[in-house]
Order: sequence, then structure tokens, then C-alpha cells
Amino acid sequence: VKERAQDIIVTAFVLVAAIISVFIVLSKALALS
Amino acid sequence: LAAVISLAAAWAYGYLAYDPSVERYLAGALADATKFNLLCFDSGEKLCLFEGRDDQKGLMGYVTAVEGRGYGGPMVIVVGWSKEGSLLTLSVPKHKEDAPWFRILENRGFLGQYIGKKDTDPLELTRDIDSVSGATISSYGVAEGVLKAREFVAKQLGHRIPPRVAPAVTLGLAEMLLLLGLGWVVVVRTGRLFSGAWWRRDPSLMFGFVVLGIWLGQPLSLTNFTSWFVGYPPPWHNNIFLYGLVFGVLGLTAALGKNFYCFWLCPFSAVQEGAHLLTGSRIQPNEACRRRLAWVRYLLLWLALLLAFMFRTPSFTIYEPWTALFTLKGTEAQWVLVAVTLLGAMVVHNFWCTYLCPVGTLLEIVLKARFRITSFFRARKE
Repeated sequence: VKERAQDIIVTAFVLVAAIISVFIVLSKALALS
Repeated sequence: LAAVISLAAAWAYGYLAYDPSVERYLAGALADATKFNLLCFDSGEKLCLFEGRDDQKGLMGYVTAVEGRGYGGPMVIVVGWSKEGSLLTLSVPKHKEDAPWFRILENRGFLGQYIGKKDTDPLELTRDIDSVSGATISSYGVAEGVLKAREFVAKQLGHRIPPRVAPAVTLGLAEMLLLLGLGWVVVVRTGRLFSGAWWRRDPSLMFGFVVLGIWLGQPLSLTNFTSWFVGYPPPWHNNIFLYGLVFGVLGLTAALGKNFYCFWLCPFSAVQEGAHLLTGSRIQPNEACRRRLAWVRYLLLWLALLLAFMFRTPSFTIYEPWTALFTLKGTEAQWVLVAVTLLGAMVVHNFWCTYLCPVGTLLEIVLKARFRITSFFRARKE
């Protein structure tokens, strides 16, 4: 259970940071177009 | 293979779809004119000179539109001139700079310094015009564009202009320190010096944090590579440090087969190490989870490059959290990313570097390509 919880925490952090990164890149592209 | 093909297609699309027309900006530069005639076009300098006329009053002045080179790529600099050669308006209607940085130029009145100057004035940056710290490359790009434009206007009016001062090659403390930092990491990583010492990364990380992060605010960013990929490298004479950083790290990686930047010199790596020390968290995903998450940074890199190539805009690839952290300039989303990343680094050791960093991913691709090439030649030799 502990191992699984660790996987979930890391995955959640990675996905949140990735979504914000995508948002930053896309918002720049939308602003230009 | 699909990623490479899609990136090549995006690059070709961006190249073919680039619209160099400037006519739509002319009316804003010379409000009194109702009609504009092209007098001169220089494809080498990427400059157009127009005369602005009014049906009743005749010649009202001139407008120049020239391409300058900023941090994020080319920018169109449009200048309105009176018929006597005074600078009336200056604008940059099209640019690829990141918004927080370009706003500095506007807010600190950089463009306003030019208004009222004459085509016969020296107009040299740092001597007659103050550059803007924090947006130095953008201000150099605008200044270079105005100087090119002024030559054409003066020629049209038959004015003599002061000789151009040759651009100074700035080679100073920053470049020396970069050489020292890279040299130190190469010695420590390739030699037996301090081999096995637990603290051997600490001096270079501290060095990177102080010099590249705090002092210069210029850690290696994906955009530094993308600007070359899309054909808009910054001018070399006032960017020796940047050239040294990009080609030094790339060259050493390709030549010696090791990444000498990530985890050693990167100032954001030092910040993350510090954040992790605060909590001492031991959270680590298992190998299967780590492998599942590995694709995220490749996907992010691919998306950023795809858009940068399509729009020929290197600044699209600036999404790393250190840009906002070390320059203290960024959009709301960039600051949210800084917060999430620092929180992540407290929980997971080297969170950004391991799972998301585009620079590390790019250097990893270089290392993989090097390995394949050397393996191929070794196999042929045998």
C-alpha cells in the first residue's frame, strides 16, 4: 500500500506540473495566433 | 520516427507560412498620410522604405519597416520619419519575445527615447540610447533595426550620417566563470579527483546557483537551442556567454558522452536539492511507475518544439520554472508552475529534472544518438 501511495503522489505531481507546462506553451501559441 | 517526421513537417510549414508583409503597420506609423508608396526594398537587410503621402498636402514623411533580432526570434520594427528626417514614431508591432520581458521595454520607456531624434544623430545603444537591463537582447534588436532604418532614410534625404561604431565583443567575468565552471565539472566527472566523495557535486551546484542563477539569471533553457533550430540565433558579439553555454554543454556532451550540466551546474537543480533537504522526504516511485512517467518529458518537449517550429517562435519553448524564479518575471501560470515544482521537489528528489525538464531530455537524446553512432562504427570496425 505504501509503495502504491508513493506512485500515486509522484504521478499526481508530474501530471499537474505537465498540465501547467502545456497550458503555458498553448497560451503563448494562442496569444500569437 | 513519427516525432521526427512531425517536427520536420512543422518546421517546413512554419518556413513556408511565414508572412513577411508589413503594409498593415504603415498607417499607424504616419497617421497623416493616406497613401504609401514603396521606395526601396532590401532583401538582404530585410528592410522596406515607404513614402507617406496625402492627396492634397503631398509628401508627409517616410516609414521604414525592418526586421531585427530579439531573444525569441525576429521582430518587425516600424519607424515613422518626418520629411526632414526626424523620428516621429517607433513601434514593434510583430515580435516573438516572451510577454513579461517585452513589457519591460515598453514600461521603462525604451522606445520613447528615440522620439524626436534625427536621422543624423548617432543613435548608438549604450552611448546615446540606454539599453534596458533584463531585456538587453530585445533592446539590442530594436536598436539594430533603427540604425539600419536610419541609413536608408538618410540616403533618401541625402543626409550624411555618423560612422557606425563597430559592435563591441564583450568577453568578461561571466565568460571566464562559465569556462571555469564547465572545466571543473569535466575534471571532477572524468578524472579520479574526489572520486566517491559524497560532496563532489556541491561546489559546482553552488557555483551554478550563484553565477548562472542569481547573478546572471541565465540558466540553460530549451529556447536557447530552439532559436538555432528555427534559424534565429542571437547576435554573437554581445552573446558570447550564451554561445559558450549552449555549445560548451552540447559539445562536451557529444564529445565525452556525459551530461556535464544537469545535476552538476544547473542552478534549478541546486534549488531542488535545497528544497528536498528541507523535508528529507524518501518518496520514490517504483521502477514500473518511473518508466510509465518517462514519456511525459518527451511528450512535452515534442509539443513545445512542434509549436515553436510551426510558428517559428523559439519563446514558445520557455516553460521551465527557473525562468520566472531567477529573473523574477513571469506570467501567473509560470509562477504556479514554480510553486508546484518546488513543492514537488520537497517531496520527490530532483522532481523537475527527473520527470519534466526539456533541457535534460534534449541532452539525453544527444547522448542516445552518440551511443548509437559510436556503437555503429564500433560494430563496423569489428
